[in-house]
Amino acid sequence: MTPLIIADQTFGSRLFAGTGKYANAEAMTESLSASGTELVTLSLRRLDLQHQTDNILKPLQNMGVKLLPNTSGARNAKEAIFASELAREALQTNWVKLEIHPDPRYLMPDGNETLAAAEALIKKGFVVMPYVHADPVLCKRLEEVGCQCVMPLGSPIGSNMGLASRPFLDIIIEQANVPVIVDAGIGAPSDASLALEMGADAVLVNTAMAVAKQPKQMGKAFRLAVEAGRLAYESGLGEKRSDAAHATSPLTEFIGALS
Amino acid sequence: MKIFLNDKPFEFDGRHVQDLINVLQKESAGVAVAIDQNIIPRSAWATTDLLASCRVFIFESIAGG
Repeated sequence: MTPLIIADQTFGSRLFAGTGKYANAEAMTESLSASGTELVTLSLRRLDLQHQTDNILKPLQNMGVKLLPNTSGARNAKEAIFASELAREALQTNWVKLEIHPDPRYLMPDGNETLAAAEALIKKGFVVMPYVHADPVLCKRLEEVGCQCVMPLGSPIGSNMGLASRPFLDIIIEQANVPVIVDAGIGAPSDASLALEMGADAVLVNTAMAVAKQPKQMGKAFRLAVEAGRLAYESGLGEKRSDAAHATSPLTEFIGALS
Repeated sequence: MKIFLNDKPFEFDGRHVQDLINVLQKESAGVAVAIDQNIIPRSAWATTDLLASCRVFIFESIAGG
């Protein structure tokens, strides 16, 4: 399986993972370890003085995975740029998953603001991984302004609806000169496999792993699915044919020889 | 003196940003600090003064997708 290269970083695993929604830090680390992921996302929020949360940073650092802060909560480009600069300081990384959603109900990404923020952040030296609709034109624009990859959604965040955007993902994958990472909506390992078989370079999975009854086992299931999907893609899948059945064994000659 | 920490009044007896981090018993990893809208780099925490009534914002890393 060929490694994935984004900016100056090489990844053996094509499965990226979110850290949200796990019951606790232990379940998270077990699941992420089993998944083989080498890149995980984190969020930033204002320090909560009333409630202590699990320290998830230390176990993630111990795992040796790359940390990718997101700009979740940003409603426009200005807020996302500020969030990116905070994240760079907090986690000492110039990588950022750029996500801007003005509407908290459906968390739909704002393409205009994302493009504006991406352009500004790239000028500031960030490696920008933009989370966007499966919009082939927008993905091309993001590539043109210097994004090192694009992260189109499969379906709404947390919906487990899989690759509802498939026809558009196909176009994005065909046109892209940067890695395409399908993010959001991947509900089952088969969704992840399909994305990789289609030629997506990686997937980002969170909810499906985090809320599984057995997150560790589900982490493994996603690892196997992603590897299978990529291996199938690299091996060259046969084209679907509807005109006729084509035998894989020379049955006719064998039966003919009996008479 | 009284400062504003994440928009809430906060009584603080130290001097520098680092003193505030120590008072809050926060590890510095995963944390970012801004005074008003200016991000204070970690390397400047020990030398940046907090003034009375200043608006400090502290952010921490949490789980997210």
